[in-house]
Amino acid sequence: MTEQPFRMARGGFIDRKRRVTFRFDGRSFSGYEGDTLASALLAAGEHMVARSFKYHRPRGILGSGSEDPAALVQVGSGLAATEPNVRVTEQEIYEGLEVHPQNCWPSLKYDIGVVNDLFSAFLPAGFYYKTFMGPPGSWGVFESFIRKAAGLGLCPQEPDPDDYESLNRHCDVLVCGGGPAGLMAALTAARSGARVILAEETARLGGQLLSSDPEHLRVDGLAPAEWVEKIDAELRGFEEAMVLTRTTVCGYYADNFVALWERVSDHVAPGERDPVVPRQRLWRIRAKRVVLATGAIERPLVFHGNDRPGVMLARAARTYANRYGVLPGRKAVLFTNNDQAWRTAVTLHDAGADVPAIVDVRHEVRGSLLDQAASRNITVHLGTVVTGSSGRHRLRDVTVRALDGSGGVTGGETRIACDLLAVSGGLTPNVALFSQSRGRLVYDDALAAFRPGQSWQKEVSVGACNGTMSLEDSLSEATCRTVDVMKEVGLKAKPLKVPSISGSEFSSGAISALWEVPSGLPAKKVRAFVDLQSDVAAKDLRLAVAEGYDSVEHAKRYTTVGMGTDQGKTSSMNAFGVLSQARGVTMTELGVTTYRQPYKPVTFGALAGQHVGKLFQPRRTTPMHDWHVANGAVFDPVGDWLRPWVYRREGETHEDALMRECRAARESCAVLDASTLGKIDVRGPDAREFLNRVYTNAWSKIRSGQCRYGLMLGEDGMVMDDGVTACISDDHFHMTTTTGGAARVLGWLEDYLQTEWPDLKVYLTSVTEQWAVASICGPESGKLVAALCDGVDADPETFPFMSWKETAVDGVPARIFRVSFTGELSFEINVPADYGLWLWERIMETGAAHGIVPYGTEAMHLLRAEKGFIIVGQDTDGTVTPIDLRMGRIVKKKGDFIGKRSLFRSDTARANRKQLVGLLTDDPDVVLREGAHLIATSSEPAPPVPMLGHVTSSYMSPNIGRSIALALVQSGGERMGERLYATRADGPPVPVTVTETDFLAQREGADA
Amino acid sequence: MFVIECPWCGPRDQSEFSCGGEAHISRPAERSDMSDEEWAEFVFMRTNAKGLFAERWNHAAGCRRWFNVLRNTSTDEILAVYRMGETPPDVSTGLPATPCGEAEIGSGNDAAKVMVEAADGTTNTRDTV
Amino acid sequence: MPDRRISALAHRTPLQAGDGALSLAERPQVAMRGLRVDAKAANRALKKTKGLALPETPNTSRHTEGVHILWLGPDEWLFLGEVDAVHALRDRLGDGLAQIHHQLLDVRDQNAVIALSGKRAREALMKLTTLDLHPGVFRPGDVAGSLFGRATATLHLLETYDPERDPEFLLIVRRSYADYLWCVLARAGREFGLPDQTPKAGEIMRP
Repeated sequence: MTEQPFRMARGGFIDRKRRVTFRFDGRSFSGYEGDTLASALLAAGEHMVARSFKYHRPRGILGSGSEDPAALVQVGSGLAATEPNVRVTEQEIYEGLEVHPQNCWPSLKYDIGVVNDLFSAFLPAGFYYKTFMGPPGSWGVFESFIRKAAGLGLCPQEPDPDDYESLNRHCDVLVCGGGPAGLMAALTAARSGARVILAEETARLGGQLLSSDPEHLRVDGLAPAEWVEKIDAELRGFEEAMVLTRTTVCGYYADNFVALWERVSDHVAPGERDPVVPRQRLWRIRAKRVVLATGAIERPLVFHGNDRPGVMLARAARTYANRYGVLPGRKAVLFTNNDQAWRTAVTLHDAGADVPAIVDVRHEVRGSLLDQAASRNITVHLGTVVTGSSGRHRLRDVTVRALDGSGGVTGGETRIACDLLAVSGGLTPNVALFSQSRGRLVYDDALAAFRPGQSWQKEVSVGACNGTMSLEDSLSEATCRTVDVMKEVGLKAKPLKVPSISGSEFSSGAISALWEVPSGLPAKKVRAFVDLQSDVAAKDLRLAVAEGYDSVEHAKRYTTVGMGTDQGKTSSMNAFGVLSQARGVTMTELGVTTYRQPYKPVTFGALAGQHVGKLFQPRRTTPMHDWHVANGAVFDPVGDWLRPWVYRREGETHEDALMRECRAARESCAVLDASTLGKIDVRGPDAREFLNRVYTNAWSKIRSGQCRYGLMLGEDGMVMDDGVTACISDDHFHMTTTTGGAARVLGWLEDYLQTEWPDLKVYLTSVTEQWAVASICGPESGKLVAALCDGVDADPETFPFMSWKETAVDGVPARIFRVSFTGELSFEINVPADYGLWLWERIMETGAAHGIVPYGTEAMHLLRAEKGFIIVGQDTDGTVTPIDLRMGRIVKKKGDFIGKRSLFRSDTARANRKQLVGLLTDDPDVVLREGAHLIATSSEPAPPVPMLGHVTSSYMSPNIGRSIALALVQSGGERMGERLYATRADGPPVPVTVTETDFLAQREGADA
Repeated sequence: MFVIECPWCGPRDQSEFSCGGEAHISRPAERSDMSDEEWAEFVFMRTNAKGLFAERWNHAAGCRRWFNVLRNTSTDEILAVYRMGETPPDVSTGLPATPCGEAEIGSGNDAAKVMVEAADGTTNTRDTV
Repeated sequence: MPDRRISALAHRTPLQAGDGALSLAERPQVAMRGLRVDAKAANRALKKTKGLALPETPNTSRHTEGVHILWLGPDEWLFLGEVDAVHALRDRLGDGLAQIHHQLLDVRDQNAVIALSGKRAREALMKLTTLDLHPGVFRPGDVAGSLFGRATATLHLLETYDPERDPEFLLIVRRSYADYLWCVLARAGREFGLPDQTPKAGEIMRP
């Protein structure tokens, strides 16, 4: 077991009593509870943790949080619970944690992929695009290599074993970021009685306060962590305040809709996680106001050899020392262009590190800085830059040279041995969320960075993310702006007294922007990286500009800068700097790339939440469902509904069962669960007029007790839905729709009533699920209905086709409709849905004597096809008019209805449209493929093949005793008896004859 | 997901609503002399405006009412909500987008991501340090 | 003779978290009537029938003679209560509205009624809906139609609820969505102690 040689004797917010062991790259390590992988690995002296994406160069730990670009690992083992691209700077360690390096083979230190680095000259910016555009065939050559190289890490191969949850919350104020400004804002809001949510990305509140020197800094006389704890305790005392740690604000959307990603138990060993608590949560917050307190991100300096493990952001180095009690190096050089980074040299020195040099690009710095360095015997090199570094897997030394005042370097090279180079190119306000909210950014010369300019949504930025870098100003800004926000939401608030600060960190000071550090080397030899994850060097950006990619968005895509999983948190600002210089434009003229949601990668699990697996989607079932399941039903999904497709008996094939069901429907009796049919109660004095307008046929004369079939068209004249409507009383109708069309038709009819015809006195209410429906059909069905129902005479004379009766089944009130799905004698029994299962069981019991057989949707479709009855959505596809269906008889001549005018448009009225016809194959055993194209010739001519139409429904019909099909055929109505051919993928076209659609009538005609 | 203020139920999440496309297209009364072109204009032709747009929404999961919304399609800003049959309110003042050009702010378009700080302090920018 | 009526959630038994933080139960005995009518005309007519008035304020309800009258839309209400009370009210409504264009329908079987109560009820519901259920915002008697997970339902906080006690919500949902809603509610209550519920599943599906 490796020790922790770089662990400081004291300090840090770790629990030294709780030792934690974990494995990385096949080796065992130890750390303490409170450590991240990064701090624990650094404590062991491990800097190199990964390989870069393109060139497989060694990658170390640059940052200390979500900003780190390339310290990515695979966490967990097994095929299900493994997770790629986890930042070592964010993953907290727990006992037994398994971590694997990624993007390297066979191991982290000896990786074959390194050859890419040797060929880097052949992998220039825009490599993909150049191979796409290159000589013919070059893509083919490169593709297999590119595919292999694509992506970082391994996807889990098995279903995710963890639970996730999404949840919604509303609040007055959402505070994003639990640093000093965020704490101050949250407390100001909470004290005013607001509903406050405070989200902090890391495990602890405090932000930069936890990274500052606990011996020096005093906030209201308290050590920084004590002050944080005091605020935290007060916040938690408010009933309306909620503090979420380990929670990243990952997306800012319209109308202050903000997504928060909480890692609830990622820091706990899988075996110890609370099984009733999800692994991660997605909080969907609707906030009246948002306070952004997301701090600043330090950017590195872009110099030759800047990507070596051991090169670390200055603030990160300070964080490891003060927050985690880890000395990130024993011999540390600081390379900076601003004041605040000098604190790192002081901190590391005071923590026991040797600091041989501070290298500052500026020619002059404040005297107080020089005093601090002098008092510690730190050599200061002003007007000087780092021009190179060496060390294979870890930094060994750096070389420094003086700037020459005209963009180059001059003088001799000084080599300084070190194992850590702390770098700082300045602090960039973290404007990602502000920019996601669509606010406009403004370039700030003093910061050499963009900061929030003009807001679009109801948010304010406070503290470092607003460019306010000093602690005092930050706290004051946070409380004052939060007070304004509280007033906007109608709450009284007072600004809090700003705590007194002593021993503050150095403020940012004057920055000397230096977007690319000169090295004195020939341009070709310089490897100065801007993006450490995607391996984009400064020269790649210049190449993009040289090749014409002027727009910052184009240059980004061409070079992939900032396109990795880190979203360019440390690289974008430097890339903008290099691009603006290459193009000779100002930063404002150059503009920025788009900050998109999510702020950092979010697991799919969290986004899907609890709505997965069996809870993915509602499955609607009828009251008779359990009977169907118990009796061999195979189900057909129709919208969200599950309908019996066919009932299979022991030993039967699907075909057997289907044939049996279809024969029973025509020879004895059969029953269909038709409960899913849409049902709409239509009521009002203008109900008839309403029906006249929505159906193609006439409804003025229908009398109570009668039923009528109707077609509904869209305004384009195309068939949209069909169904039978019964007249309950003069002003009261019971309309039915297709199962799939139920919700759409009701919404559509309501739309017309509310918007086009508000003068019509009609009310519509869905009663789809009020009624359970059993549709009994077959020659025996009349006898069965008479036996079932109280006082119903099923004699066709007294209970004619297309009529209905109010009755009862053994005392249960029922409506019986003598309508037919199948063309056979049929009765639809409707009872209140709670009685549905009882009714069904009673039908089966009573029907046994009549040979009753339950049938499913497949048989229903087949039976309808035998009779030439259409199925909307199968025989129609939104391009078919009633005339095309040759159902012109139910299109009224007088009076308007929806879609009528469209039937006379030149295209709709033309004679050679496709029309619905029957098809009979020469060979009665051949069943055509649904969708097969119809042509006029017995063999397929050379393309383009003239298509005459296509098959819409096709079955082997047991009742006709042969195959049958329906088809839409050009001028079909005029082709009766004509010979056509149906194409096949696997053989010559099948000869067919065009017929009428009612196959039953044709058979009877033939029999007669 | 933006918030839509239902004229009856108040502000609700967009997920409760369904959009019915362009508003103020009334169904022509039946006229035999109406040309195919005129009819097609009603059935098929819709404006696809960038900027101010009047559209119909239905509070599908709530009160099931249809109503009109004036929305800036470039920024998703909802400028007014009014009931069926009412005339669109005048929102021309302070409209943050031109129908033909880019909204000055809020569209997420490249042109609107960065600004030059106004000298007269008309924007909510803080004082330069 | 077993009851011929089988409610939408008859296959589920009431659930309760150990410490009473949350409980979930179907209310199969609740009768329901849907009414659509012009509010002004109806309330004018109903004035004569003493004590009957339809709530006209959106998303509110009125509790009268054992029946909850829920506002569903500007011309739509739901009556909900014990069978006898609803029947009595229906008869009076029928009389009162005889001369007015209206639609009064039995929708008891159309819907399932799920009761969710306990001090965690608001939290559990907010895992499924974007409605703001803060006690200061969603108050006793309030009604709202919204999405709960993937199901559309009407939420009602009983006006009979005593602020000293835990809230009792009713969810009125189409019967075919009831099993789904039951299961997602149970899932939402898992961290408060409700047992997991598996939706009806396992059917053989067509290939």
